[in-house]
Amino acid sequence: MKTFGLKLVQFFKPMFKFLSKSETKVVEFLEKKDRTTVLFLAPYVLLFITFIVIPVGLAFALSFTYFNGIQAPRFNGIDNYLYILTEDEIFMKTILPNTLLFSFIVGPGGYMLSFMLAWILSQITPKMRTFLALIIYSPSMTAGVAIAVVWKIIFSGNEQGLTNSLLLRLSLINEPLQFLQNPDYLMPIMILVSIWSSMGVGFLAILAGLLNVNKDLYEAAYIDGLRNRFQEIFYITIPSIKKQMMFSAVMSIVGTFSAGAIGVALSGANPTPQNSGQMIINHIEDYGILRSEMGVAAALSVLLLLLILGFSKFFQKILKEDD
Amino acid sequence: MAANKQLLKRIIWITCGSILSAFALLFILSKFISVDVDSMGGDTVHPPYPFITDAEHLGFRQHFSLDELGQTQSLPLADDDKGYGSRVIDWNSDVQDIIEIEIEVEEAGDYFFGVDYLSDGTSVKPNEISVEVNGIITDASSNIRLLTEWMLTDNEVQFDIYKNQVYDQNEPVSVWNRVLLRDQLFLLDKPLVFSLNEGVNVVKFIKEQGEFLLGDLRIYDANDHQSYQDYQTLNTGESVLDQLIILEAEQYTFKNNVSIIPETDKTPSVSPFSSRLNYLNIMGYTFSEIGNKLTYYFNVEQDGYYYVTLKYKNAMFDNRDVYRNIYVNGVIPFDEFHSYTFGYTSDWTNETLSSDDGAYEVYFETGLNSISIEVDASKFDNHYQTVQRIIDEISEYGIKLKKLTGGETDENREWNIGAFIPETQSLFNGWYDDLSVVYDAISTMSTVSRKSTEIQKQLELGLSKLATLKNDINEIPHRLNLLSVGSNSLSQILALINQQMISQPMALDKIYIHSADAKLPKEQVFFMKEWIAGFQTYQAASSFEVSDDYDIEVWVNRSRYYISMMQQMTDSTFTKETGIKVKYAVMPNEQKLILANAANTQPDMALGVSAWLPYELGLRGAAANMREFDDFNQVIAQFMPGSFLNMIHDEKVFGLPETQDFTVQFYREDVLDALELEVPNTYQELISILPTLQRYGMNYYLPLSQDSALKGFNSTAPFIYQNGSELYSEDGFDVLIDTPAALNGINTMVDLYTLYSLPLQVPNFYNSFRESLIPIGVSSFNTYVQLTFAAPEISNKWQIALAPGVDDGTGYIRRDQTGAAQASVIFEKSEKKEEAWELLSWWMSTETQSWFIHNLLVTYGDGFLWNSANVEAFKTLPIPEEHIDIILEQWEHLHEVPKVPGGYKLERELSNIWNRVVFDGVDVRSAVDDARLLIERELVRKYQEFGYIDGDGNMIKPYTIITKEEVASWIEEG
Repeated sequence: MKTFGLKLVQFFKPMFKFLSKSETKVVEFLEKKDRTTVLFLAPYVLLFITFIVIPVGLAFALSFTYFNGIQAPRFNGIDNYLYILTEDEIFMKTILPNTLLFSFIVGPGGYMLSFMLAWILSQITPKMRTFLALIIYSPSMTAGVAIAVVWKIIFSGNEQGLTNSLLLRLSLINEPLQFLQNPDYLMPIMILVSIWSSMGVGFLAILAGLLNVNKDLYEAAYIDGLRNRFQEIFYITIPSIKKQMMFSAVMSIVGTFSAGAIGVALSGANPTPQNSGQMIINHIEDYGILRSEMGVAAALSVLLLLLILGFSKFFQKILKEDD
Repeated sequence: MAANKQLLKRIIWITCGSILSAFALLFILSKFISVDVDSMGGDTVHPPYPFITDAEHLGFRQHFSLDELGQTQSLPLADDDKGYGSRVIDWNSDVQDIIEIEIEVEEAGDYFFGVDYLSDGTSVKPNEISVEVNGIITDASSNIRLLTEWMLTDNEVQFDIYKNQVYDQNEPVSVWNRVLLRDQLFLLDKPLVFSLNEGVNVVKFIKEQGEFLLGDLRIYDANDHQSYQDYQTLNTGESVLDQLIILEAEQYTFKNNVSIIPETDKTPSVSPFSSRLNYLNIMGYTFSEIGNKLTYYFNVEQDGYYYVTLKYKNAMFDNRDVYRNIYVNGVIPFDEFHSYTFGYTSDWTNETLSSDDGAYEVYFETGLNSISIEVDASKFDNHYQTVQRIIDEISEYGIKLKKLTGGETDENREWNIGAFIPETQSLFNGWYDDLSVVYDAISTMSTVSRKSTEIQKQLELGLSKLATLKNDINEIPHRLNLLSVGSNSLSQILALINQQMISQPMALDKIYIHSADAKLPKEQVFFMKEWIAGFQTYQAASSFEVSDDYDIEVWVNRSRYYISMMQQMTDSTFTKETGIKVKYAVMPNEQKLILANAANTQPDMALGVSAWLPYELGLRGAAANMREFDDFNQVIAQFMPGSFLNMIHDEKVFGLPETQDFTVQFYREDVLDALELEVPNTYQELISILPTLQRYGMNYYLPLSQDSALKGFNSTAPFIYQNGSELYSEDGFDVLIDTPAALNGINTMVDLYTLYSLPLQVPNFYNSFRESLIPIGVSSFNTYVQLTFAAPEISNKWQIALAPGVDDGTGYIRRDQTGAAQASVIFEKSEKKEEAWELLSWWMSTETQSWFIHNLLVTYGDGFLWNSANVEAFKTLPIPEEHIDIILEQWEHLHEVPKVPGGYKLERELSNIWNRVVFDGVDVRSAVDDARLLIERELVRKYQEFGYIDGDGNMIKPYTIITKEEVASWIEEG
């Protein structure tokens, strides 16, 4: 058996030799003129250009055209932007306020909740922590439509809907409430569902940050006169995990502004009743797909991009000022 | 310790190594060894047509020749007897539906009736007759089915591009059958028994459905029967030696139901088998419906006694026996062949028909003989009827209870049920005892007696529910979910049990007619062979080629089942006649059409697209105007004129409807009868039945109550049309939602919800309907299919009626409804538009559509209902005639919403009007006015976009809206 193994190695030796020779050649080639850097960057740059830069550029270009998705686009200047800002009766009246309201509650709300939950989790034993973290994280992994199926049953508008059934049983109401059809209820429910599912990557990042804070710092701080846990969080924890908090903030801003599927999924169709749960994303889909006005849709996406960019910059400023 | 580790390591290495080398060995073997099995059949033959067996059923007494009777009585006898030999009745639609025959019987007594008939149509609907004897007609003797025999078309075995054997069509055979009249379900142990007096008896045959030829009448003594011992003395003959006749099950001569379908079993244990080709090599579990029969004809070379062996598999229901009747030359030769038991087996097994004393020997004469295998469940006969009775009683009791409690759900309320419904306790006890009897009887019917079957488990579940209920009858109102409401309630469990009892699935691979000494092929191949076959199948699975040779490409938004059938039909007729080659491809998403069109890779035609798409494509110049093609006016005459309105722009038609939805009223007969309510014809009548319904916690369903918050045109527009208003002015620039008529409609639409409390959201009408929470409502084709095929516990308890409407003052009720479903579109950029149109007009022709309806049912089974937009073809759907009549009448009221650019705004705002009035309490008038402003602003913008209005709002050209009447006038022009 042993001799057979040796023979096998002998047999393949020339091949190994050739390989190692060519390897040195390749290394020599790469070491010239920073070629390694180029090589290592190439996959990312290529993907980034193909899937981000080109589509964004195209959307930007299309936003200055009349394009119905079927015929060739026709340049029409800034008409689309003018139309959105001055003529579209619901953009300024409902879409923008809806989006901002939703973002300001779900974004910071979810963000603070992420931090609080992560901090609480960081205080308990590892096994339990992993278990609970998985539970808290799982809603954000579920796709929007799948979430809607569950919540639709919870907020169903007949006696069998879970919430309605509970309220009826407690005699708080006399007839079922139309949570998903009545414009007054739709937005609060969207916010509730979104916060429930907002413990995503940002939450995990904060949790990871919290677990990696240098424990010596706390001891040192207590010696220096720290008096309670609140001060501990404020003076030690937050400054130590600023990077993770930054990441989480950006993620939550992008996430909330580009959310929107939930309203449509809950109410059953785009547009939502009386546009009560209509967000920019729904509006883009409405123009682009339902009304075949790709130009307007592109312009809207550009506006949304600018909005997100602005808010991210703003938060970066707040969180970065000490550095 | 270290030694242990070493040992462990070695063991792991050896195990892994041996597994790997075994796989490697198999892999290598699979390259060289062929495990293919050729067909062993070929012994099945076709008898000469028209064919009638001269074998006689048991207990034959008298023969009444119609020819002879016709000389003294007036019978509508036909001259063409289709080979019968004497004159018969050709019972087509020209002949009266009731035929009265007087027969003279020699001896009074109980008799079976036997009739000869020949089914001559192509319809998949069975022929049905009712029989009245001396003025007496029972439930059992009505709607007796005379089944049509079907045979395989004589095609060579062909394979599609995925290497699946193409399933051949079946043709109805004009063959004379002699049958004993049986109950409608084929469930009863014996044929129907008729009591005849001595002397003259009057027998009335009533034709319920179908067209067929009726031959002579025979009567048989109902008390006669023959055991195996008696049978052996009948024929003098020897047991044969060295004989083996092999019949491949899938090579049947006749089958009497189109839904018995051959299937593929990928194992070399059955024949034929090939690892590269998917042969249809067995009769599968679709051979399960009672009364279904497969018949095999074969030639026998030597007189004598033979064994009969069936190679079968019965693994559909765990541990359950299945039953079959075995006919030899058209009759069951002795009692033991009636309801013969086949035990549970998950492997292919040879069962030589035998008793404990040895195999049965069956006598065959030299020449043509036949053997038939019929699905039977007569052992369940009594149990089935008991369970059915309990289901009916539960539903009756449920309604009674609902009348008492009024749908009250308050948990704290206490009831004294005994005082209000005194029979409750005895009723529940009775059900419990009856079900226990059924349970005990069924326990003896499993293959391995100590293991229980699914039916038993279900019965146990039902019994435990009943026990809970009967132990405290005053709690029943709070335990309706155990009794009759919901998917786990007693009544649904019982319905499932009944479905299972009469379902007797058994797969067949081969039938052997053989001598005792014959060596049968092995039932199972060596397991290595199975493995090799598995390897080869796996390797062959991914290799198939697609032909690039075609003239027109058609994208179809449907599943592969439909498409392979369309391809087959097109290749065999359209391409043959015109020489135009067509390629169909699956289109998973309609959005692809728009993208493909932008990228210049669009197909020539698309089928199965949403009905709104042709307009959107046409408006932007992507779809071809079909009015330019030849014969357009003739082609559209086959459709309802109202179904085109949403595909017309500027007098151009961009699509043809392909399927058509309908909106009708569904109602529970049992509930409405119990509450003494009439089905409403108008909204006034609807409102008048609401108080009664609501008093019992029930309600009415309109499409407006659907789940989605956006109420589409299908739920809002009918209200406006029914009041006699249109939605758009003739030039298309105004919306007419504020005319008095339209306001009437909108008022009705919101009043039903604000004043009369219709349910605001019903997540699933079909479920609420089953649970009789909403026993009546307006819904569409989808609900119809669900109720027909997925609501066994209420089958026969519901009906359909025309949708309610508005009386226009003259007594005529306007019942306008929309009905858009799927459509077709031809692309403007296509270079083969004429050819595509030729294909489309062939495809939508009555002939092709009826054929497609037929093929779908024949190939895939009852559930594949194709609601063709072609009206004549739709009539051939195998659903009850009275339903077809109602649907067709409702289609007369079909009124699709015409499309204008920006029309979506009207749809949304109508929905918003309803939403604002119902939820925000806004005044109807002001909601309509606000909406109108928004709609017209959007319309102006859209008209500008498409060049009907200039920048200052002046009209450049009018936008013509075509009405239903104008489409009708095109048809008249021809």
